[in-house]
Amino acid sequence: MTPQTASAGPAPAAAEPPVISARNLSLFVRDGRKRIRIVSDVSFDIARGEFFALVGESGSGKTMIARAIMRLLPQRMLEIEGELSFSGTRLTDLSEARMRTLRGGAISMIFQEPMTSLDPLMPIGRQIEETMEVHSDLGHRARMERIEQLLSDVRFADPAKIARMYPNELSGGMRQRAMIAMALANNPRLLIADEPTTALDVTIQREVMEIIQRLRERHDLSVLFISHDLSLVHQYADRVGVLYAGVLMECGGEADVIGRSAHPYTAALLNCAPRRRVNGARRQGIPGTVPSPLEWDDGCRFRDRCQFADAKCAAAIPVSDRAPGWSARCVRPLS
Amino acid sequence: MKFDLLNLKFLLGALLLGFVLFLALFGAWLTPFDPNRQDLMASLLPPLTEGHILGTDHLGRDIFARMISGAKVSLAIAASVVLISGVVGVLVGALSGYLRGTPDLVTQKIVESFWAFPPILLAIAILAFFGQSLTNVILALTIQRWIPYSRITRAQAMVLRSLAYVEASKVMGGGLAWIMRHHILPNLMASAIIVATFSMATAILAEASLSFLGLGVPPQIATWGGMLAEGRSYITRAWWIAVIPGLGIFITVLALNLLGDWLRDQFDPKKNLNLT
Amino acid sequence: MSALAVDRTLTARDIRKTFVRSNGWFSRASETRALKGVSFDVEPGEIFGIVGESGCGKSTLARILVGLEQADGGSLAVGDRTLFGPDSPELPPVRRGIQMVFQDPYSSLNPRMKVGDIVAEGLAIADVPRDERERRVAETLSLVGLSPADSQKHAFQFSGGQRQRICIARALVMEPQILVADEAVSALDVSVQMQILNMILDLRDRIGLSIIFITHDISVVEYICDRVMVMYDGQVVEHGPTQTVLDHPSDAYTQRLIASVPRLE
Repeated sequence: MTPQTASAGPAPAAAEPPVISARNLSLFVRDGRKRIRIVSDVSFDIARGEFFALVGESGSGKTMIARAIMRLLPQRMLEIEGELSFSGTRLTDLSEARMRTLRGGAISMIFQEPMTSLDPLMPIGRQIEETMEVHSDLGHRARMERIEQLLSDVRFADPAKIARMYPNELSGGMRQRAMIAMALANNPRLLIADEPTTALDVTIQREVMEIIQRLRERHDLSVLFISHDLSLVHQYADRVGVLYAGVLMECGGEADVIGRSAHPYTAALLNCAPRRRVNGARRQGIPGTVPSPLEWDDGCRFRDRCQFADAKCAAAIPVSDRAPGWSARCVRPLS
Repeated sequence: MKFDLLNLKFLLGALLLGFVLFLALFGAWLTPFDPNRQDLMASLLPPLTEGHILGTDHLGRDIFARMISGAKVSLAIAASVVLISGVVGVLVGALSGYLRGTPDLVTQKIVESFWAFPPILLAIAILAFFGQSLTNVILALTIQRWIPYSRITRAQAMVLRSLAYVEASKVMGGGLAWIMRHHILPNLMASAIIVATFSMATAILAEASLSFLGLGVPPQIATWGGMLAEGRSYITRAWWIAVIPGLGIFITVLALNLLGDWLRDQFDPKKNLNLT
Repeated sequence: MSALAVDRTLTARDIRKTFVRSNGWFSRASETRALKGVSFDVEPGEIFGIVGESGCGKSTLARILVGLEQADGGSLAVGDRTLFGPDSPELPPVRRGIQMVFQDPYSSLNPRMKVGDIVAEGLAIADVPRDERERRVAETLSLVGLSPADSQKHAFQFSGGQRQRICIARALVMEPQILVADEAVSALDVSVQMQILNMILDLRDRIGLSIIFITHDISVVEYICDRVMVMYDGQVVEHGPTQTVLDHPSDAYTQRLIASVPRLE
């Protein structure tokens, strides 16, 4: 299997390991005694400073991959098979203590619903300070200055005032910006954003995305952006991975995956996005429903809903390269 | 709704309760003795003498026969109490939680007033005032026991009323009675049954306490609590007169608690963790 | 315009709603003016969009249209029937000829009921005899792309998209003149969303249903709505044919809203 390389030019002489490297990653959950595979054999890389979007519908496994990187669930609930590395270090080999130094430090995460990630009993400033206490050696004064700087970076006009406020006094968009400030407090190398704007109004969504983009450029931050919204991904992502039923169907540069689409699922998904109808013409939806993990088999999981499927699709599908850095798991890719 | 029947709690609880019920219903055929027949010549006989499986008490009455008749009374009282308090409590709670506003406010004040009394004290007061009889015992025990039901059903009704399917029902013309019958009450039943099981256990204990204090049903009727009270003075000479009814209460309450626990586990939403 | 068409135009005039929240006995109650005088018309057989961000009042408006909330002022009529108004008593929901589909397909269906009973609920409340109920349920289930045999199953056996179809069937079996869809596709995956949107277009074409489609998603509006109304802070800031409003918005807020929407092309 060819490792994915960043599409941004040739590798530097002292090749830096990718910020995230996943190879043949499979995830299992436990249901009583049963061990159910929810992500199958996924491989992708995220380079430094890259905005990588993991796109999928429900049941695709995208959220679980984020949880696996952060090792947010214990081994008995979420099992990780295969390789998952952060800047060259295998995450599965690390002890829980080591993982804790990474979480909130080198790797941080923001979630869809900020109200459940923020402590309702603590002012915002204090919460940011708390994460700095764990991960940095700054003294109190330095921390307070940094908090104001962070809040101003996320476009709060009066950072000192916001620092004293409680989460329930802020609107949804403001809370999300506060979460971003908190996530960046310790200069992470990777920011995992799990549907951060799904619950926000579209005007606020734009503000938040612009903030993420600007801060990413300024700090050379890598972003793993999980979403179901293809238009959002089109606007902001460098590279895209399309997940369906636990399988990475297509992965490559945004212009390739979304602009040209090698995999029929990607093309079908793009086709489903509602937009203006020309002369009353309808868009094709994708008939059928996503198969549940209990129904998965070795063949292509999309074949029952794919208009190009044939007998070959029932066997295990290898990943094939369309171009360097662009691959699709399909035996009948679109030309 | 899958019930885990191979569970120890269920098996043990069902076995013990089944045993008690069996004796209460059919025990009369297992003994030739009359529970109220006194025979002073045969008084204070230890268990397994002269055909008395569990011995006799100070008046020569067969204890096994009295246990069976006492079981009938205790279980019947407890069941009536649970049924009446359950029906009243669930309805009051469901209406209160669903309607909110003034009816809820008024009901809550009533609930708080009733709840302010220590239960046994209230029961004693009622029996002292109205006299001791089977009906009055049931009344005294019911008067506060409907409240736990109403608490739980009120909380659940408050959640249910804002669910989309209840609102949809309103838009389609569903009135209060319809929504209660089809959407609110069925979803409250699970909790109500769990409360009922535990409530039955405490009802048996409460009735036994009242009888023990001499405030329960008239003394001619055999009850486990009454037998306990009578056996108190003979504890050193004839321990079986008090211990056996005590054991009966213990086993029944244990069985009901086990079953209640098991039921609660069955309905626990955490059982169905879905991680995918 | 034919007599039939005139009969079914929905006319909403100056609808107002203020929510009052008590702050105890010693403070003044807080007032939230959710709707500050909303007026619009919906033509028969049209798909009319109401779009806005959170807090604009669109959900309150939806609830007032179907009768789940009472307006504080204004009037609503369908054809020549007044549903509520300054001199008219408020018509109960079921007599308005307006039905609603809700956002969450999971809390919209009673988990204990069979699908057939869920869809027939409105008919059962109206004491429609059993055979007729069953017949109409079977018909409506087919109309929404489900099979009549599905009436024996329970809700948990269906996916999100199928559940919304059940909700739509439940609303349609009442034969309403107007269907209010309050964020009806917002909780669905993109591929499923498109199926439902196409189904709604089909329904409109086949049975001439008028649909008020409430959403925050502008691309959905663009796909499905004939005319659209933009709401902000309890008021209508812009309205007109969809293409006109989206291509040439005249209101500043509308312009900002449209500019914020990420585009695929």
